[in-house]
Amino acid sequence: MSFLLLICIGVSPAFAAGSSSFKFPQGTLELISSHAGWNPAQKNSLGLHFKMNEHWHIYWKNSGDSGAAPKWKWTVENAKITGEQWPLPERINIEGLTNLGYSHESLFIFDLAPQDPAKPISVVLNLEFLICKVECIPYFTELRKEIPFAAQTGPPAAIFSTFIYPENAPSSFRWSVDGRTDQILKTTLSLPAEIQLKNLEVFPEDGETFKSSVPALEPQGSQYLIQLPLQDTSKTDFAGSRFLLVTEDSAGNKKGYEMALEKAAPTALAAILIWALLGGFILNFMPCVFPVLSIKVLSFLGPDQDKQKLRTSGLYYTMGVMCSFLALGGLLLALRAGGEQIGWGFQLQSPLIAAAIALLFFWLGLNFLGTFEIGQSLSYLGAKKTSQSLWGSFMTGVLATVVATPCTAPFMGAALGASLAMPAMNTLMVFAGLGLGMALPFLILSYAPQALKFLPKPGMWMQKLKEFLAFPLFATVLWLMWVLSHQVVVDSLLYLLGVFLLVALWIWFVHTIRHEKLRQLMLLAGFVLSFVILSFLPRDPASASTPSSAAVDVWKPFSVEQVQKDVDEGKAVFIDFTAAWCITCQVNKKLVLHTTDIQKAFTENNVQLYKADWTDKDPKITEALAQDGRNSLPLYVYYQAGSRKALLLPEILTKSIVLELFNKENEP
Amino acid sequence: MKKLILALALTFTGTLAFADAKIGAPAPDFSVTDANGKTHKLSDYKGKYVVLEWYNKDCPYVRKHYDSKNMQNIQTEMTGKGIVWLSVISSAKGKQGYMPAADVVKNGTKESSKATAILVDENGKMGKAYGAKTTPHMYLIDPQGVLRYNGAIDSNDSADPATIASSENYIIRAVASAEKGEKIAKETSKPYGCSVKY
Repeated sequence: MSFLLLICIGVSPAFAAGSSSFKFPQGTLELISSHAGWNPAQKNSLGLHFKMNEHWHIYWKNSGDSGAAPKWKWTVENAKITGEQWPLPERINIEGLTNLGYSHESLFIFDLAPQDPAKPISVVLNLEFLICKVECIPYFTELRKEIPFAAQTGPPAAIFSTFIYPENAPSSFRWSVDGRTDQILKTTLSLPAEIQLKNLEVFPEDGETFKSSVPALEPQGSQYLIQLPLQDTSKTDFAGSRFLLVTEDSAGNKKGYEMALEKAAPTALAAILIWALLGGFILNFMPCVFPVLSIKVLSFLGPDQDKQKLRTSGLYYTMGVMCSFLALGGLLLALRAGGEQIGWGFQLQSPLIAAAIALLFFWLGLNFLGTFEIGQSLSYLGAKKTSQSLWGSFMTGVLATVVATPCTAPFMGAALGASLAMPAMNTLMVFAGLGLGMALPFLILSYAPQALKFLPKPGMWMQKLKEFLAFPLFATVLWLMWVLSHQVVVDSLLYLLGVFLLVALWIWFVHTIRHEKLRQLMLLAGFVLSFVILSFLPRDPASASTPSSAAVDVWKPFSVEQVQKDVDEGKAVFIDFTAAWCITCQVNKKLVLHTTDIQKAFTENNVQLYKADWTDKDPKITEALAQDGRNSLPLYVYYQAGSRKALLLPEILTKSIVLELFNKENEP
Repeated sequence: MKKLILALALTFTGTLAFADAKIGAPAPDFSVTDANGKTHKLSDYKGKYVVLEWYNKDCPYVRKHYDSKNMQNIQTEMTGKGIVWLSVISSAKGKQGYMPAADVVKNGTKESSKATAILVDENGKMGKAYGAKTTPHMYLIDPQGVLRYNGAIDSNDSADPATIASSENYIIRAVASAEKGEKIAKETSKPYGCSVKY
């Protein structure tokens, strides 16, 4: 029916004759001029004025979950359109969806730059707009307007100052990306201390990247921690994404600021850099680097050099190391761009990925323990002579990196893991940091050669340090296995352990090969093969075979209907959204929720306890989380007895936070 | 190094504690009857590509693609290649687009729908499991049951059928890339159209 209407409108001649207004069953639309006549000495604008009947709405430039923004095509004679202004939108919730748009009345403003004085400006507007209540009707129309030249100037028509339009955010506002999880972009908005944003609302301009639901806002002094829910989870770079911030001044008047996200916050970057620097520094003490490197680098740092030359050499060496590391980082980025499908915000919900990380760490751990060496022959290359020129120092730096490769490779694994979820710039920072960290001791020595005598002598301790570092890796494998044990049947775990056995067997077998190159090749083949075999991991969910162990579990499985029923009956309800892979959840469970005194408090206050287990995917829980404006764990929801209002508790629980709930309740 | 691993372990707990069923993850299973009373389950179609299309006969954006025969042409092309095409009506009883099963059959014939089946998801269970927001809203599931595309049918959210010719059809592109074993260039997009009438 509505489409018939649309066709009728499309072909109706009633408003083809140059009308500046359009009446439709749900409202009216008018093309108006800011002034009766134009004059170059005043600001001339056109306005598109919508008036809608109750309950109908049109859309903002990002329409939100459904709908579509109005589309205009202007044909203007004797002027140019220099800008368009959209009034501040509102969130319109329709049956579980969030739309961004305008109900009642709105005015879109188009600024004009007139050309030839003494000629009128004539405008033809071809407009498509969608108007919705719950059902939607699209309209297509053409509006015309002629604005004559006028000698007089004056203020614009009153309607032009009725609505509020966004302005650019003050340059003192800073909004940067802190990091992301699979579905949330974490950001911090920093403001000058004297500014308070009252009732802050955030609207994303880009509906392809961000969801239109309300982001979680947490004021922290002069900062806001803003968690933006992601629509497109494959995207990795969010700098430049534009948003509209709507706030109120002290008098309660609305104000809008347009603002773009910046790259990672400096504090986050600093932390990354410090870790990377440390990592690079420790690299120097690895057995494959230290002996060769110390002889080699210390030779050009010898005491007979003159001070100035020594320092330049040190600088060139540092540059050599850093350039090589940056090249490695660039290579990684290129690989990452090519293999983006792997998904960098990967999920431990996929048992295969958890198993693959466990396998990777098993390999790295064995390498640290010294069960096999990578590319030992590379070290010999580094021992060859390079000239003593500055270029020589630079090349020494490059060579140092090459020499370090066998030890760096496992480091790359760790650095790579850490930089997985980061934007490209941060990944490069990690590599630059590793490089600088590695070059640092020699850079310092070149400025203070007398420190040489404090340098530890190479020896068994380096070997021991490297071997020891295998154990944190194995501990991580253990943790991953524990996660897996909650996801898949015990057969899968045995399969993974079987792959471990094969890996060990393979390394043992490779040791019997005398030929160095062949041995390296066989190692690589085994490495690749182990992941191929792993991909056949059986993945039957664990829940099918593991009945609940607790005989009387006071924590009932979560169900929307059941919770609703309890809330309706006025009972107190506590919901624990948890998952085996969520460490914070486990800590809260162990230290707070499952302790006897808290359980006692729950029982005494007759609280209905629900456990929503998100270890495996469960769309119902995902939806329930979304309804509370969250998509992350942990989440603790509490309904007071007789209240329908959900109270969200902090992510890190203490006993007093939980006990406080009941104290409040007992107060009159 | 140890610090780095610690940092790495922390990154894991931070990064991985949050997730949900998305692109690259197994698509939610469903069990919904079609207009003829036959039950369809996602698991029935293991080994085949499955396209899901959310449908509401009275939505102007659905009309854009059906009155222009664009949707039927794509359906013919897809089902001709052995791809399963399921049109889903998630309109609740009494809401726009809802029809009793008998009318769904008649309407399908009138529409010359070439879908494999038209599912009547009157309680909205399947629609909500997928997070279907608009009509049309398209999904592609690969033969392994993994969700590969979620979003709009094409690149132009106008209601004007004249824009179809110049739009980029995302579902055709997604199927073509998936069949060639390539990465799908656009795995998600913002669906456009009327809201699903749950």
